[in-house]
Amino acid sequence: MLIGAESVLSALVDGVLIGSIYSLIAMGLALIWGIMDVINFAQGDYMMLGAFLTYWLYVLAGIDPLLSIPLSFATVFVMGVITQKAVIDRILDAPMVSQITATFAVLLIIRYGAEVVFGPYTRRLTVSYLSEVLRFGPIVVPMNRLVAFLVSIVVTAVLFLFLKMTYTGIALRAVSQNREAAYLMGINVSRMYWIAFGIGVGISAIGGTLLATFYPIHPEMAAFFTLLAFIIVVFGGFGSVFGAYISGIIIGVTESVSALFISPTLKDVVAFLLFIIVILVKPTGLFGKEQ
Amino acid sequence: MSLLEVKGIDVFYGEIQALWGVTFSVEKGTITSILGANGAGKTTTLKTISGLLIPRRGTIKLNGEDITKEEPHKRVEMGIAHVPEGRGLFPRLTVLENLKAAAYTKRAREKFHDTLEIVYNHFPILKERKDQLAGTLSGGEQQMLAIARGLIQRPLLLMLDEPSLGLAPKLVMEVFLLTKRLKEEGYTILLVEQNVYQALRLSDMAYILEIGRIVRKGTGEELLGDEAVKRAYLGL
Repeated sequence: MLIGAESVLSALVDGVLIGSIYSLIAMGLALIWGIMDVINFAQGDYMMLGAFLTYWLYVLAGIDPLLSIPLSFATVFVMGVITQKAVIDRILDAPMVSQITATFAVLLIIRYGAEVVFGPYTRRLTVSYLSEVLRFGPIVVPMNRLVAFLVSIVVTAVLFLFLKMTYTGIALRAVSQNREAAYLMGINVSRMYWIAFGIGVGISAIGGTLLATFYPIHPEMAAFFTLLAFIIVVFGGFGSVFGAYISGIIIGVTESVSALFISPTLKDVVAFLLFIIVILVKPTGLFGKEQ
Repeated sequence: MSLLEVKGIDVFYGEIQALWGVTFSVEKGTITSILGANGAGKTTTLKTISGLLIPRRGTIKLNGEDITKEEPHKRVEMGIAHVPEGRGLFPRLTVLENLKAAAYTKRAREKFHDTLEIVYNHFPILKERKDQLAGTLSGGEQQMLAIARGLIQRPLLLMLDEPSLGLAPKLVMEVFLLTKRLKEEGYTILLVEQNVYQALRLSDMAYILEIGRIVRKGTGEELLGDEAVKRAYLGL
């Protein structure tokens, strides 16, 4: 069977759109990793919380998923701050194994807490205007994915400007580069930690909100996304937020194109292979700084 | 009342004691030096004053207020600036971003634009390079940026840890001249140096630290004439 140019183009577009959501989850992970030097295994579970929040707000209160974006961010931001103060703060200087165990415990609490509260059911959120399909010539673009893509661009731009232009953003980057010197500059480092963790998981929750408009919602939906976020962050260069955005899209495109050319069941395998190749060739990742 | 009063501090790294009853004070508008060989405890002393280390015994007072257990960022807000050994720059921030990072406190941020003008007057090269990454500056420029960040903090007390370290002889002289000029402008400076001769020449008061203890104190002139100091540190 020959594969037409239209389907390739559609696959590319689809990859960019889905990849942009991967990017949101990965950027949060990269932010936390870069600033706190902590690997947050629960990253995808905060995304799941965002997805459920959006679902219930729509079902119970009729709130449009797009309007729930700020609510989703704010709620999960606060939950992140609580996690940071209650758990992460105590393990910042602990050995890596303890850190991994602690964030893994957070993962279990959130994931199975959600399962107890929401039940082990898969839910779908259907909003009529988001279910429409747009046609640009031969390319078919689902409205919900296009919206997700546009929102992810806005979120990334806001994050970028925040890190670049504000005193707090500059202080966050300063902490990631030299913790001790940051203290000496008068930066309240523990404050930077909860801000970083809150924003990091909050962005992930926005990803969950966007995902909820076209992806089945389930308490255990996070596993695949967390794994993917890891590869994306390593692929883009440890702790590089910008690198995470670009490589999220690269991974998305790799998946959708290989689903088309090889097999949908093997698309993740191809993405992981690409990841392994890049790491072999450039161990610091695509946009990583030399150590 | 002295601007800074350090009284009998004992500082430990784990179980290893690094400072033994270190006592000294810094008067407003002076240059005070802490001098000594590598490993004598000079940097430890500064780190204890800026709050990176907490002494097991003893007190530190700024303007009479006890700050012994205060968090580092609060001490910066109170007016202590510490320009660390090795400069402590943020290499992947631009020069201007490094300066902004130093203006995080309320104290510094309120006057940031005025202070920035003053700093650029002192170091025109930093204005030229404001959008360049700090990690790409030359050693001399990096030291200027480190001191500039200290000034941005609008300190009551400016602590300089080995500002001449790793610089070419000509730049070393420049750093000492700058230190003197800053004093003339009204800054109070606590200087830590291995370059004992140069430091003594511009110090109002100096303390010699040996393996964690203060063994001599006096005005710069007195110590320049002190036989023991001459033998041990000046190679005379």
